[in-house]
Order: sequence, then C-alpha cells, then structure tokens
Amino acid sequence: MNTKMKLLSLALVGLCGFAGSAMAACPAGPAIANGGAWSSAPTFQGTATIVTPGYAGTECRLASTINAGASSVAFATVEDDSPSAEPRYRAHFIINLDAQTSPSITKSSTAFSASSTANGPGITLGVFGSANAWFLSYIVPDANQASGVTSGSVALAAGENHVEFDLQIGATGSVAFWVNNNNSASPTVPAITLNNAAVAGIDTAFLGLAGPSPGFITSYAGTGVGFDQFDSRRSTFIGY
Amino acid sequence: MKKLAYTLALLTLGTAPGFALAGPGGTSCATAEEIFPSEQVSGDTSGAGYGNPVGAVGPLPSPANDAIYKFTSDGQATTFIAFTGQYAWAAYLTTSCAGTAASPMEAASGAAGASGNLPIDNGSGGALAAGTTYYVIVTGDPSQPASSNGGFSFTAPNPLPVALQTFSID
Repeated sequence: MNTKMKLLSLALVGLCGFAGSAMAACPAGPAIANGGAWSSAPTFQGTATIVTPGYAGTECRLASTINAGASSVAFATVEDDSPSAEPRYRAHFIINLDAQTSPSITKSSTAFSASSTANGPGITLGVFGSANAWFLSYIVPDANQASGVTSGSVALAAGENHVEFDLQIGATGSVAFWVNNNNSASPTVPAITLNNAAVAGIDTAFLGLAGPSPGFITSYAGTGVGFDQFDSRRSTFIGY
Repeated sequence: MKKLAYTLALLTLGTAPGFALAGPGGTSCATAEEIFPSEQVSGDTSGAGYGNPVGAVGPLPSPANDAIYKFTSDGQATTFIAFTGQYAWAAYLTTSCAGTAASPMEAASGAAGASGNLPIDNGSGGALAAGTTYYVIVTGDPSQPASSNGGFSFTAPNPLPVALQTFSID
C-alpha cells in the first residue's frame, strides 16, 4: 500500500542550469492550474501566494495573507483534495509567525483544517497569542466531551515551527502532536483517546489563515504568515 | 399638565439596579446568567457544578471549566468589563456561545492575580449590534491545561447610556 498521500512542498519545483549550477523557480501560484501542487487556492478577503525564499533551505513558501478591512470570515488558503475518506490521517507542515509581532489573546486565526466532505471538521489547528508568544491550538471532535470537542495548545517557537499530527478516527480514535519534535516515539502531545467516529474519514485539507479574529486582522492585515513543507500520509511518521 | 408619561428603556445591559451581586455564572450556554449594569460579579470555576460546555471559541481552545454570562446590547455603548482572576484566566465576548468556528469579537486574559479589561465592542472599536445577545465566557487561559480553574470577579460597565424611547405630555 502506498501510504504516502501527498507531498505538497512549496519548495524547489524546477531546476535548470549548467555544469552543476542550479536556478530554482517557483510556480506562478499554489494551485495545479498555476503550476503548483495544490488542488485549488480558495481565498476570500485574503491571498494565498508563493513567495521566496522557502523554509528549511527550500526555494519557495506559501504566504497566507488577510486583507486590510477583511471580516472574520476571511480566508487565504490552499486546498488538498487528494485524501479519500481516510480513517487515519497524518500531516506535517512548517509555520512561521515571525512577521506577526506582539502576539496577544486578541489575535487568533485558524491555520489548518482537515474535514470530511459529508461530516464536517475532523481536526482544526489555529494560532493565538498569549503572554507575547504564539501558540498552536488544536480542536478535534470528541463525542465523549460535553462540548463535543477535545482542545488544547502547544507553544510555538520563534522562526520556523514543524507541526505534525496523527489523527485516527473511530469510537476509540486518537490524536497526537509533534511540534519541533522529530522523535516519533515521543510526541509533544501524547495520543489523546477520543470518540470522533462521526467524522468517518478525511477528504479535504486546507492550509492557511481562516476565520481571523478582529484583532488579528487589525494588526496583521497585509502581512503574510509563512507555510511550507506540507506532507500528508496515512500512517508513517513524516518528521523533518 | 394632566399627564406626564415617559418610558425610559435601559437597553444596553439590562435594567437591574446597580451594585446587585450576581451569581457565579451559568454552567451551560442554555443557563447563561444575565448581567446588568454595575453588577459586581464573582465566581469560581473550580467549584462544584462547573464543567466545560465550551470546548473552543473559534481557534482558541478552551479545555478548562467555563462560567457563562450574557447581555443584550442597545447598540450604543462601547465600554469594557474589568476582570480579576485568581488563576490564569481568559474572558471572551462572542455572539455564539458554543459550537462555532468564529473567533471571539474580543478577548482578555491574565495571570493568576492579574486584572484585565475585556472590551465591549464589535472587535474594531465600534458599537455592538442593537438587540443582539452577547455572551461573556470566563474560562482558563487557552495556553493552559484543563486544570486551569479558579476564582474570578468583574464589575459590569457603569455608567450605561440610556435610550429614551417615548415621551409625551398631555
């Protein structure tokens, strides 16, 4: 079984040159139609563009940017439709919020989501500020909780942050997270058991800002959040 | 003058007299406790009966216990609620108590013993929508674990604008 679903790195996509010299090129846009690898790049009151340089030594990255004057339903995302009712879904990406200075609790936004076409969200990751630092939030459906979700957070570091999760769907499903952690045997957030059977399977993933808070829009409109090195698989640890 | 009739409607945050002592807050969205002008409110989310009906407010996780309040705006006031918590607390202003992906309109947080102001506006400094019910959710700081519960207090805004609806002299 091919356990690797999609490698959607926004890194080097082309090489040309002479005698060992290489000149990298970025696609015109993140969607397949523009030379990129993503199914599409849906945006509303924002932009999802490819800029240079990339992260982890690569050439290109995604800049997800909310426009000035945007509303709280704005989004600036890229979309991957390659998953197909996946009962287990792992994904990794890099996020960099260095351009978003002075984080606070009034500044928050969704940064990634994966969902079932028929049954809605399977996992939502966000960013928010607290004590002048950025945190990654996770929200996962969980029928065992009164609120219907399991949620929590992990501190992010300055610069590039490697984020990976392993989501397993079922009445005894689970989710685990690795943040700047390349040790598959020791997750940053060890597997949390939950009941997410209603999700059934992951069909679609969105990477990029969505649903920003008013404070996020006011402070960071026009300033892109950087993403790179997206990879999703069914089971094997991705790492970096 | 045969008759002096007037009706003053207190639309901003309600009509109760000032300095009433409110309860500890609702333990669910359905039982959200209404707050009124000048009310001094205190509660303790580590107390019996509190749970976690609000698991997240938009992208903000809320694994700790919640105390839930509500009010209906007159669409005029922009003000703030001053909070103090004995634990790492957070407070959100939102139109959707639970089950939504929308970010809160406003948020505030503080470390144990710290005070902070939750702006009462539309998130951009403008007035709230008249006649709309808004929720104030008091919970643990989103960067903290589910065990981040404790005592808190706040005073509802005062003074409040009063809207004159009808006035007639016969």
